[in-house]
Amino acid sequence: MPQALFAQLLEPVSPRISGSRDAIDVAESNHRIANSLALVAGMLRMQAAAVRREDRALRHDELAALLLEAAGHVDTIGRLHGRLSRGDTTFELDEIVREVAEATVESLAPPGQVQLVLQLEGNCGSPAQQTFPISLVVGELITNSLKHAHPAGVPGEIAVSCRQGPAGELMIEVTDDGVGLPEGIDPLTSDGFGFRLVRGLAKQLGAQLSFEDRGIGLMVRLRLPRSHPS
Amino acid sequence: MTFEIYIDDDRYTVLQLLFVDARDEADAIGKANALLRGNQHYRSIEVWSDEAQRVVLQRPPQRQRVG
Repeated sequence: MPQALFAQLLEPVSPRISGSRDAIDVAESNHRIANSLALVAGMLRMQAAAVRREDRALRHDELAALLLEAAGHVDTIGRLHGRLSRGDTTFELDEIVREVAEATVESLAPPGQVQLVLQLEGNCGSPAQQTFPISLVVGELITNSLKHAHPAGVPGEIAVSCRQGPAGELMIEVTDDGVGLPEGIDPLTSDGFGFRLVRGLAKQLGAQLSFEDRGIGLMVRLRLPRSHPS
Repeated sequence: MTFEIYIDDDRYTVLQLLFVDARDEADAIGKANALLRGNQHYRSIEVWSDEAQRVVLQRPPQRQRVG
């Protein structure tokens, strides 16, 4: 981890700057931003390690796709920090998931290649700290579908749903109609970048993560307990 | 090696996640210890790799080996 960023994470948030509430708010905002940047830096480093493990040189279009994926994650985090800067502390998940899904497909898929089906319930308020990892999970799962669901390049469909379960838990599902998981790959143990990232984010959320290979298509479900605003 | 570090911060209800490069487990634990000592809001830090929890560091600093 770069030293400057690491130092920022060590910096205690305290009123010593000036003692004012505004100063504390600014310090806490900066701490949240530092957390986000540290996560992004770690994700990029992990992606770099995954590329290093490839047994062949990547083509220009593959490298460009990796950079676009990384840009998508940065966009997601930037979008949420933008909302925080307006004073939002609780986000409507349907709005956020819609934004992330549409932006990811628009960024990574050729026009007309993917039909995005969104089934997003309203009234799914989510505290900011929970919304960050949820958004990254959704973006990564859609990215994974775009990259792997249809290796032959035929048009496909990705469905994203977000709803509240009977016990108040949040259920988020990303489903595609592609070829499913590659043979021999266990998404719960694979050290591939995407699976590892999604598992880490699910653990961060205290969420259950499940993969259902449907023969035609893959469904990934994130089930997380309701959280109170932080 | 890349380790996952989960930080329990008393200001938030959700753990903070970091992916940290380290030479080995001892190096990762050293970095986690530095984080814990350096921020008064951090209550505990878990260090994971290969889907296994390697250590939990708590404030006041103490180690609880797992596995």
